[in-house]
Amino acid sequence: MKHNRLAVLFGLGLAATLAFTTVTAQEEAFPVLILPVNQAQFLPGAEFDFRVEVHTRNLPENFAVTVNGTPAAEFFGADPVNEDWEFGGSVVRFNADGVPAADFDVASLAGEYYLRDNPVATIAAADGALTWAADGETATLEATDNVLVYTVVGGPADGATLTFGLNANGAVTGYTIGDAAFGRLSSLPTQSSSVIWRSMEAPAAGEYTVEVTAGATTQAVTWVVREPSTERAARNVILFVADGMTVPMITAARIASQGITAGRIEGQFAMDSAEAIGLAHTNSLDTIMSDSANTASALNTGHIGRVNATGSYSDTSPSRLDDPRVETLASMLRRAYGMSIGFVTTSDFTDATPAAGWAHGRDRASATRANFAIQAFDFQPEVLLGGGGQYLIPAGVDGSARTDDRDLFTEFETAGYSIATSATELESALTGDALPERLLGIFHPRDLSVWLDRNVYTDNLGDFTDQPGLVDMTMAAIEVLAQNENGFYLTVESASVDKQIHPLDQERALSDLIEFDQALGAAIAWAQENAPDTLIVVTADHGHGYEVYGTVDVATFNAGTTDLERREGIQVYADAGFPTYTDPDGDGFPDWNADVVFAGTVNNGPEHTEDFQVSPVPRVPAINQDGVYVDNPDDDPNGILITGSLAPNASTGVHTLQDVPVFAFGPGADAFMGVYHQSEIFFGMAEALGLNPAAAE
Amino acid sequence: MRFITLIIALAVFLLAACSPDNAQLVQVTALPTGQTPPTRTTLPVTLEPAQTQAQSPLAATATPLANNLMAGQAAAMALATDTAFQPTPRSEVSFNEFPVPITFDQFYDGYNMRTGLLLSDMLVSLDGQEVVMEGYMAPPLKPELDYFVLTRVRLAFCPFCSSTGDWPNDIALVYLADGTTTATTAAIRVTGRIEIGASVDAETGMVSLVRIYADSLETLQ
Repeated sequence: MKHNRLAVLFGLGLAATLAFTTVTAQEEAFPVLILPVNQAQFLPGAEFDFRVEVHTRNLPENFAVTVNGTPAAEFFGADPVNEDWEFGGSVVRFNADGVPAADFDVASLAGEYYLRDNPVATIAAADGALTWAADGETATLEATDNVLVYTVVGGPADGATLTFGLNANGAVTGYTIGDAAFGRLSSLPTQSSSVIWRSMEAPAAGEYTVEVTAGATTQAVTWVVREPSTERAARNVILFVADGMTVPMITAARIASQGITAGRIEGQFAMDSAEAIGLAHTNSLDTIMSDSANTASALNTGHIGRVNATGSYSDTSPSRLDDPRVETLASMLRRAYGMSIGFVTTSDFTDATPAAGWAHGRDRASATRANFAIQAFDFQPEVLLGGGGQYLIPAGVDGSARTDDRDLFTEFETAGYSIATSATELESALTGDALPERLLGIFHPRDLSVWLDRNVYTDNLGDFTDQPGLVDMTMAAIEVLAQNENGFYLTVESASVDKQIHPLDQERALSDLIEFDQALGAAIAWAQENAPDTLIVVTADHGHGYEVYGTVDVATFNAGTTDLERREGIQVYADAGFPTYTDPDGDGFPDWNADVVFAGTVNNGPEHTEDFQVSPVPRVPAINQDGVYVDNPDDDPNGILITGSLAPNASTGVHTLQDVPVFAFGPGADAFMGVYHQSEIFFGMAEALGLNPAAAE
Repeated sequence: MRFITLIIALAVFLLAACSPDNAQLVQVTALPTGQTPPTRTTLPVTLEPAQTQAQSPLAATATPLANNLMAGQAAAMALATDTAFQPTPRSEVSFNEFPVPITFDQFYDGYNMRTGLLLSDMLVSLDGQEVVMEGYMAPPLKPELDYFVLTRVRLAFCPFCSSTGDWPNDIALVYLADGTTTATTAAIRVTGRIEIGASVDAETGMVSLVRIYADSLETLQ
């Protein structure tokens, strides 16, 4: 509940408007934001930034921050840096779509007008006459026969025509003089005064109460620094994350992959042999729901942050990259043990799940991700394999997503990385005289193509016909990382379980889940053979509402000419029988073209049609029509209509609330038994590794 | 595809500086592949270059975004730099009849992970020329935008919900002289002047490699 209280305060702060009152600062109460938040959990010695915001123009005279009663500057042995800014508030963009109503009141034109975010002019109305004032200059506005058009008399724009604009609802949006347009302010920004201590180290194990005094406000949070583990059971840790994977998806993929006879699955998934199984909650700081950024951040830092934020506690400052940071597991392991670090993903490497391993930022915008690429270079993981080439080439090169001149491919190369840009190059990087010590493999400008397109519907690959699969990338990473006797920490992400179930594409999502399990199987086999002191943890970052509720007889379904006739093909309970997927080549991936297929749907989505059959092209279930997502006539045209269950502007399905499964193998696996928040997975991995960042040199 | 029926034009959509009220989209049939392209009948766009010209379109437009531009100003800024920038094809392709029909498949010869997209000789040779293209209008962010994104296939995703980096490569940014148009999910045909090279829209920050300054916009049925 304490988390919720803070979240509410933060929300209030965002919405707050400045109130100029006559009370003195000592008496006035101000919203205060303390980051890290209440009940934040640390390992001793973990680096973090500590920010206190007070939402007022200047810090009150009695402003004070203490930690367990000691002034914070004394406690940390460092003075903070002051940083002030404004946040919130919005300027209406000038438009002139509307016409004045018959009873238009000229006084409604009075108010402050802005150029971009800067207040530049005030228009006042008195007795039906308008005056203009800015920068100490004034002018009167002489009326014309149009109530929106005035002639400026006096001041720097003497003689010019000033034209107000109304929006379609008749509200004033701003005015123009010549080529310049000025917007009306719709809400005032909030002032924030803050202090920040950067790169502090968490103190020894214990509880620490941080108390902030600001005017009449006194606010306290408690941080918990945990006892570090003293025994290192695992030398290596591999964290497998299937983005968006849930138990219903695993169940369906297992049947499709392994087959089922007389009620018994004919084979096992690699994850089925887990030594410990857990359930992890995925809630974020600001909502019960979650996205891949805050969840991956929880896995990598042990801190619970806001949706879209990674490696940081979100503040209200304009910059998305200066929010107070918390240290990642990879950073601590490198500091404490000199371990090698690797990331393997089927997404753009700047995407949320891989980036949480090294990056710090508030959101997932393109500009932020371009910075995550720089942060990746600064961090220099020994292995980085995935997509995202668009963030490694300089602006000005066709196809770049950067806005600066950084040629990060070349910078990585200069830093000693072997570079691979295709499956062939990845293979040859590993078959040279010596294994590379550092490996950068980028195989697509964006996300890698999914297994089904790489192996079956290859027309969808475009120019990228030589991409490696997740099994090959995983084993390549292990091979390079295992050269370090100090051990390694590798994250392997299957990104498109999520990316394909968003557009409701069950076959593409489940195929990638099968590939994920095969990569896990290869890693387990490697560990058993070569490094039994390897902890392997498998989880999802969040869930999706996919479920199978029966089967579909395709012939009956497709013979229908109405939805009622098509639905006759949907079979449940005993009638469902078994799907008839086959796997003639025995590679574990079924031929999704079958006579009887899963009746599998997602429990939320836009209006769309569903035919339950594999789509030769990636699905686009709904299209935008005047801001409302409606069924895409080109997607599953033979399908039954499923009414939208999301806001009209939602184009695809969304994440759902359920706990996600956790499977653990190897030394330290026991810690993952139970039900807990996913941030505990960080502490479980740290425990197995005997990690005590305070002991690092 | 299935665009086979000629639909009678509903109204004329002119894209001169002063466009008529209630502009509608003309419905026409899709271009027959392999046949002579139609002759241009509409007037060219007359947008005045408003900014200083520069060597690189990106350098000239990668400025902090201006939030309060007048309608058409971002298009004029882009056109100014586009006019100044003349890309050189590796091997010049010449054309006899205008507008030249071009498809998204003809934009690029490939992608090199280290050096980016390889623009086709045909595309680069067309810089500054009249072309006709067909595709779909990506979901617009705001009605008052004076451009839209022409895509090869219908896109489900809100282009600005995530980031410009999420766009596919095969898109063209279409500037309209008139600030607004009727959003449509139908297939459309755009006729206008094509400009090649990286450019950042001054209003939205949208990065594009291919822009069309449209003379006419029609829907296909």
